[in-house]
Amino acid sequence: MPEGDAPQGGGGQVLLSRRQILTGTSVGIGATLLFHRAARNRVEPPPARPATPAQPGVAAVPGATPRRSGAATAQAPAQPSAPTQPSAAAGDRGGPPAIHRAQLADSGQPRAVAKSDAGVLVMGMSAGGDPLGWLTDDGRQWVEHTLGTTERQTAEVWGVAPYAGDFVAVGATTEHAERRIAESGIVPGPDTQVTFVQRRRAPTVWRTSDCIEWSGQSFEHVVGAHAHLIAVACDGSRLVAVGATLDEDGAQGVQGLVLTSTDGVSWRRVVLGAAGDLAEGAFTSVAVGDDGWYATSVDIDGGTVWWSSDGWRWSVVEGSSDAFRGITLQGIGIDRNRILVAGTGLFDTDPRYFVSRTGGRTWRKAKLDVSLLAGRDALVGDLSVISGDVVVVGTHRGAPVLEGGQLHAAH
Amino acid sequence: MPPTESAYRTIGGIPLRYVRTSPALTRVYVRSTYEFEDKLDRFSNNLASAAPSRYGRLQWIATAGAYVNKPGYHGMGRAFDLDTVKWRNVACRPIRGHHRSDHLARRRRYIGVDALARRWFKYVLDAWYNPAHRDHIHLDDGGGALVFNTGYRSDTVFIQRAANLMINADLAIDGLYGPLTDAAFHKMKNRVDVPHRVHVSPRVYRRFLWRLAIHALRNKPL
Repeated sequence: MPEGDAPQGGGGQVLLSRRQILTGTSVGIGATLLFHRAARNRVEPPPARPATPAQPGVAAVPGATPRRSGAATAQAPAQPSAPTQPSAAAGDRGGPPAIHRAQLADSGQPRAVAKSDAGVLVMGMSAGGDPLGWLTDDGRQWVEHTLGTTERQTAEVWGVAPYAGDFVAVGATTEHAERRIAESGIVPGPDTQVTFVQRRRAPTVWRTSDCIEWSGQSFEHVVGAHAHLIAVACDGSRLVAVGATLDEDGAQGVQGLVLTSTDGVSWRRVVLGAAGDLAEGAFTSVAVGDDGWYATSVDIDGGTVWWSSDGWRWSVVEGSSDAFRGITLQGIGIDRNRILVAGTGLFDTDPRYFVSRTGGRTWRKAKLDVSLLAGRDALVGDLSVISGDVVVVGTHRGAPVLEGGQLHAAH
Repeated sequence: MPPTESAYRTIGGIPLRYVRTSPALTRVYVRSTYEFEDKLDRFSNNLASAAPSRYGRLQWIATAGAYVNKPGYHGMGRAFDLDTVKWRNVACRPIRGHHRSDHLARRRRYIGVDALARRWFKYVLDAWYNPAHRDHIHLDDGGGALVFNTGYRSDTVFIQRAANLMINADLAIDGLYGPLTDAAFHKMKNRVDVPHRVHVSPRVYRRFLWRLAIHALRNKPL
């Protein structure tokens, strides 16, 4: 089995209180992150959509047709039967409304979305660069949680997935060293210019059950000085987190990074070999379906799709690099036998959506039921399939948006 | 600041091209923050003004992308990948491996362009930095103040290669800033009459880079 030679992951696991975080007493890689309530955002009611005939294998409009059961989804640990994304029809009948479209706040950049027992969580980055989460447990209001970080240590959260009723989030914790620069050469002095340079960027995994208290662990001893995780997925028992190792100065990605875990605590690194070299790139998303795991990567030339039967042995899906030359890939979701990806051109920001029914060997453009996350005013952050529904997050004219789109057709 | 707040197809008035998909020149728009665009404009102006007259007019610059929707500084709209700088009569083509050209003039031209980039961007990752950059030069404005940092591999391999090309220092390009590299760097600074405060003074370091570039673009040793 092609495993890394550095098993037994896990830095120190720490659980801190809100008070500790807010008073600035929480420092150190591997420490807990705490999100505190910042704001509430209204959910836009689901738009009235024309009844469209269901396509074979196509997710139905929420409420228009019964949601499939037993479909392989991108994030599919055991889920409760009570829906946290009720259909539009259920909303019409007085139940919780469907989350078809939500404008989350007036700033921030969503990067990932997942559903767990606690509700639907969108993770992203605030306008100031800090981690930010939006959580709803009723489909009506989103509670915004921001993350407290220090000047010397910052965190980035890129991916999130449900795991055993909790959320698992991945990203990086970066330690900064202070440098004082003065034109006069006298340090320190009144003209001193203080800069912070990156000392260590450690891939980090956080876990929470309530989005209030987060326990985190970092893995610098598994992957070296600089690395980050970008996405995570779970098949109910195994977690797979993907990202990249960075170059010596911590400036750019050089090689893909895959970590796996069966308990959420001990993580092992997968050996990718030379195929994992990604110039200025990273793995950007991962999902699991009936026939195995799929992941996307980007490098300077564009995107690539990867496949693994077991999360350990990864290979490039033939032809995918050519299909996505000039296109970066941000998200991947699996809906029964179809793989969906979201991408962006190297030179324009228009979201692009693609679908494959051939295990990733051939791709066609897909039309999703999105109106805000399409066109030149949109930036797509992630695509996921949640309970059989295709959900996209991103920004529209700079405002964070979630759209639960319905895949109309591939053409 | 939004990473895509500015969209443009010229930097410093010089058209941007994309040359990776076909030999044909493709005009492209790139996006970045306004602040980063301003730095690119200044870099482009330097490329035009530092070149000797025999190069001719600066015609176009090829890029592999600025804002790109992916992790890192590209995703922040604060990075730019440089494939080619084309003057009317000559070119510097990182995409074709000019850093290892048989012609000394081309290798020095590469160092000259590299040096000018470092006047505006702290992280300049070139062909000697790692194999990922053998076909382009990455520029971004992370990494702190614009001073020479002995702890950065990206700074050290540049000085080592520049010393080999400009004063025949015969240094190993290993990214380790030791006494031999330090001595060669001192020698270069003395040759261009720049004080030894490049570690603390952005102004002094940028002056050194300018004078290094002037010599390198003219294929003249220090």
